[in-house]
Amino acid sequence: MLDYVIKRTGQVVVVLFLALTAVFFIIRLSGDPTALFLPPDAPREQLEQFRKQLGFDRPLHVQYTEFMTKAVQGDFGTSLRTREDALQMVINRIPATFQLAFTSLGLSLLIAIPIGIQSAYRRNTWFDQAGVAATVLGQALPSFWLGLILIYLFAVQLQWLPTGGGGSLVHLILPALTLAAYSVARFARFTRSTMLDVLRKDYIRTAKASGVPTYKILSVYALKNTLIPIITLVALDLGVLLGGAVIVEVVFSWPGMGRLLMQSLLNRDFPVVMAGVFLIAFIYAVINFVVDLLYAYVNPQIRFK
Amino acid sequence: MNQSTLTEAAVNPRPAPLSRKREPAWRTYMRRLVKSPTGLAGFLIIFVVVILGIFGPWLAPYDPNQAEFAKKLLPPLTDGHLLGTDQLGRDIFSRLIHGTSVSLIIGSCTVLFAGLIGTILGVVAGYFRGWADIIIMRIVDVKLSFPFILLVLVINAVIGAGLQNIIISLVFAGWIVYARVVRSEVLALREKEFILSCVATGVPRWEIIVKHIVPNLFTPIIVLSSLQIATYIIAEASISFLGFGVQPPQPAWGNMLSEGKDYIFSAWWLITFPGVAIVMTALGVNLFGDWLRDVLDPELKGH
Amino acid sequence: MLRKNHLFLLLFICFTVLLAACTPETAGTTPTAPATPQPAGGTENTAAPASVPEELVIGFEADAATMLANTDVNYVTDIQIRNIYDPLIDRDAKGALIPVLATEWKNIDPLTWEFKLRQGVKFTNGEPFNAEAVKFNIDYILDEKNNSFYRSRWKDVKEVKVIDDQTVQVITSQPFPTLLLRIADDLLIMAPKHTKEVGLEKAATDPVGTGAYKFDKWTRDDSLKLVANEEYWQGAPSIKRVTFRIIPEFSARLSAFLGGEIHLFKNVPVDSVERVKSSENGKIELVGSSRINYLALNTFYEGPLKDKRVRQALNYAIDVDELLKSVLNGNGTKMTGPLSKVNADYTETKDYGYDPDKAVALLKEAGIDPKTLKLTLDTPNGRYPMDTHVAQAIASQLQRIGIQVTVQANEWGNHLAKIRQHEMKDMFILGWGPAFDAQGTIENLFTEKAPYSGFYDKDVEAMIQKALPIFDPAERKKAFDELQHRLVEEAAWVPLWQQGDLYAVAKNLQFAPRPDEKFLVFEMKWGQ
Repeated sequence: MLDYVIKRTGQVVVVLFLALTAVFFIIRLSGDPTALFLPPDAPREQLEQFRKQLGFDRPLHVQYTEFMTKAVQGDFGTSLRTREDALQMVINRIPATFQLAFTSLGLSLLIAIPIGIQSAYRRNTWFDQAGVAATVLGQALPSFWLGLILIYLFAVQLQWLPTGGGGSLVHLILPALTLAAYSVARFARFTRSTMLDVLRKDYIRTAKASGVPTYKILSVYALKNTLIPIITLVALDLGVLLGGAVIVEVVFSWPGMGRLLMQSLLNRDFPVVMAGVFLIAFIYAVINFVVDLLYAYVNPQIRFK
Repeated sequence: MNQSTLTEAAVNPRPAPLSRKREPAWRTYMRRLVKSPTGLAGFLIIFVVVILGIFGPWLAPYDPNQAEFAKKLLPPLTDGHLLGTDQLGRDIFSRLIHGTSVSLIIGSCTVLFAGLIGTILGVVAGYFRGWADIIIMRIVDVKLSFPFILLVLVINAVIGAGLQNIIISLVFAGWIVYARVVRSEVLALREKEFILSCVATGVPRWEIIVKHIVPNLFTPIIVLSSLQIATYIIAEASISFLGFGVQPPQPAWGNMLSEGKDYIFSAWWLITFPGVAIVMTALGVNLFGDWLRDVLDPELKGH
Repeated sequence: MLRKNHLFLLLFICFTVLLAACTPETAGTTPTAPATPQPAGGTENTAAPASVPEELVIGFEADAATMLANTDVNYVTDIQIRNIYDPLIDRDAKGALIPVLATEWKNIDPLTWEFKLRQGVKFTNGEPFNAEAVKFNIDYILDEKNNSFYRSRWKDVKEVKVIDDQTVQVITSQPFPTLLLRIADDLLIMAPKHTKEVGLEKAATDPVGTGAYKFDKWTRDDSLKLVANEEYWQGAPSIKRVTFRIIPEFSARLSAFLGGEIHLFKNVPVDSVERVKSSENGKIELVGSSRINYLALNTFYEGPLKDKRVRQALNYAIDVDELLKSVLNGNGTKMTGPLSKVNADYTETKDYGYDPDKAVALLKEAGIDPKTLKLTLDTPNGRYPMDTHVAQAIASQLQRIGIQVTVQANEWGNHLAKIRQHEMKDMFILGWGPAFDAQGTIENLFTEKAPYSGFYDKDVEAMIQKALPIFDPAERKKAFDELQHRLVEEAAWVPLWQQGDLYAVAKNLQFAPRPDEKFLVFEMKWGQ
């Protein structure tokens, strides 16, 4: 067990290191930040001077070494745009990001699992076909399109919900729904296929033969065994939900991490981008680690290997 | 009814043997396709889209890029414009048809290249294991911890926007899906009886890979690809929304959608038709892909 | 059969749970619109407080970078903090300079400017406003350590001298004819004692100025809340609470406006004007901005546009009037030269007009068959009104005489980088503003070394360098007039238009938009 934890921690460190390195070099190729901050009438000498001040004139490997040395100590530098601590800026977005991510996650599981179970149980019936089609539809809608349409319907026409912004639970509904539309499809299909596997198992057949009611079979025996693979898939998707909700965040003016990262990318605000990459990779790694432990806990047959 | 389905699924998990009467394989598949309403619907949608993609330029009634200012923002079914005109007076129907090929190129090229790269790396990782495996899987981990859309954005910020660059960035971000699936397939395959006996009888490695491993990968790759195409077509729309997509005036569904997004309240048809095109195509591809998976490989679930 | 029902039951329960999870939230939401605009009444601000919204909400596309003044050069920051800080000098609706915290100013000699300051003004924390405060703020810009993005514009300032409490002198190292413009456009006055006491890092989120509004709360990328400064030296503001709400996406801004969540936003796309007008609580305000849009005919690229005749031909072949009318729905004012009419140094120049035959003739003269000419046109994507559409429309106009134009839309950062690094090819679209004086435009857009220039000609460069240091107003005007004619003759650009800024305004809000794009809430009032 301890060996396993150490090994996994080592892996996480390697992944973080590689991610930061890759993004560091890729992003330096994306252009020079200085010109985006200085006024357009700043002469070239001023641009040069500013670049020097920020250290962008030095060879790349020197910049990289300095960055890594500081990053190891948790110092990602200050944002070029706001002059605040880059890591702190990203950390400040975590609550909003988590709110949105977990609400939409919960929402999609609540919708997806019942549909998946029913589809599996009633394989190849109209319900199955319609269920599949409906969930696929959710996945096929570009999220900004769906988002704008939801705003139009619920905020402008019906005026039930606000158009966007952060703050209360009310503001969460539309963005969470939009974000959930995508994952519902994945979760429902996955539940369906896993459920199909489980339903073939001997113990299910035994249970059926001994007259256990169907709903009980489905909800107690089968569902329990489908949950484990679903947890894994959820963990995989969390990465998408945490940083990849950019579009939903833009459409609904939600002050989350994805939007900050995208703006920083467009502004070439390198320190913030690096801090964001670090944080997302870190959270992702931790979640996966926890899921693995959970996995082993739920299913003792799996050994730490 | 429900009872029997459940039993059938339980007793007979694999599809029925395909060639009972030496019927050609495609006919068997066609017969099964006709029986599945969703699969058939998916197939028909794909068929129409591909036809439009190939013959579009001859079918479009107008030049897709010809701006006619006097006729801008005409609603559908006016003045000979089936789906109306856009903010520059261009015929939306013609742009939609021309956009079909662009969207198809994005979907299929990305799948092709991402599939190729991902498969090669997946085979290397899965068959040779050792360092190659460790390195490739670490890269996969790194990529996974970074949201797809942000990765694509970063790359496009470096290499710029445009059709080719979109494909490059999508391939760059997309191959890991293939690498993961292929690797796990290969891991299972190399423990199989027939491969082990090849190894024992001294068949060269490359021959084992080319003749015995790769042919067995086709099914999962085809199934996966059918689902990925839709993902990439939608990704183009998302990237366009963020300003890095296929650049105007070249019509692609995604950039038509994002160019029209400011008109959602004033000219609904600008954002509706390309949206419907994307949704229908993604729907078709997904339905067909699901059917394909059921038929070819009921064991493969998700990815 | 029974089992089937159980299954439905399971499903039903699941969905009920889902619904239950949503209902408590939905229940409380029906009256969310924070301030329902009232139809009529309350023409005078304090007459009927109940009939006006409590708070003015302005929809804005991007967040401020910092609450520090004189630091971030971006207009999104400037517009918001200008409600907290006052300038020394401001502009009136026509762009002329008017006193604010400085009451009068004069030139003692070409290197010395003297400013008299307003008496009895206090910062919102009680600190007095005086000459020291002015010195503190200019020194702040000049101090390299503060890394102010404005510094390059102020580099000719040598020293700020406090003469007495109400008098301050600015000494420059060389004649600085545009100093007043820098003061009007850049300089805002922060409270020196407060800023020093709490430190810059803290002051960046806790600003103190002399302005009409006091800082209340700032949630990054979400909202900035301000409250009225009842002690304001120009009198208490009529609107008591202001929120800038950050809504990056236009459609969402429009939705919020139509739903009554926001009362004001800028940059309504021309094709949505009708939608706003037809809404029950909205109106449109239009103002000619000082910002100009133009098509640069790049001479840094080794292509056909190095030839003056080709550039002139393009001026003849592009119908700016048609672009304005059809793409911008008439929202903009046509320009013929490098400066717009709101620019103080404007002089009337030749209008090429639309003459495709002449264009073809000129091209033939230059030895080019228009049918074989292929050009590229770069445009930013969404930076200026209808920019990509304008680019496509230009391409389509040039196609009429056979010229093939490839349009390339760029992300903003890439677009700027391409211009700066001279990677642009034949033509590119750019905007420039606020542009109230000749030097700011001509020095930065037509010289060899300027980062965003698209034009260089030896003789023109010499003319510009000669004109820049001229201090005598009449002589200076003459030199810049001559330059304008010359640049039109050289066909350095296809000048497009002075941008028309469109604002969506709630019907019960009195708001007169300004050519310098500012939102000064102090000038606004509730009432029809």
